[in-house]
Amino acid sequence: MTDVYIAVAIAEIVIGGLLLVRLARGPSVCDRVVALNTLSTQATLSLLFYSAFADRSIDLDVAIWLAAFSYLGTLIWARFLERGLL
Amino acid sequence: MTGFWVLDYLCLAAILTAAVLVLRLPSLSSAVMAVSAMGTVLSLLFVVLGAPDDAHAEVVVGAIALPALFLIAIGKVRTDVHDRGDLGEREDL
Repeated sequence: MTDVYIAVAIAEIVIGGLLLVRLARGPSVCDRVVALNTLSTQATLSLLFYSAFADRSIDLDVAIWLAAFSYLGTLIWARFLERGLL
Repeated sequence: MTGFWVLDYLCLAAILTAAVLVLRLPSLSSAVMAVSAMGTVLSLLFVVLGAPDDAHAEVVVGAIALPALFLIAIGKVRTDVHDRGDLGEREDL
């Protein structure tokens, strides 16, 4: 079962690599913001599955922080793109 | 245990890719987004290597606070500089 957990964690990082490609090639800035937010979500999921693989429940705190603050980061981006200044 | 090393090297490859993107992307806001992506994956690498307290600091500082500070600085500069070529940016981005 732990093989499944680490395989899912690796697959999420591979998806993160695809999202980095979208962040590099995205024609508009909206594509890049969405790619960045999705990358944070994929990192959170990978972290959850890695903590299940390594059986360390203290890593779940980092997943909670990452989920909460990736939302805040996207909010900052939206405000910056709307006004040009925070 | 090989899965651990695969995850480790994949995180390293993603961090290197994001760092190269910071240097190569033509617009300033896209480079700041690449900085944020690098901080996110770096926090994941900290967790994989067994340092969740460093990962806490990296999530807050590297993924959110540092890009926000860069955004504030770029926004303040843009209010003074009207020709975006002076910032080293392309006009169409």
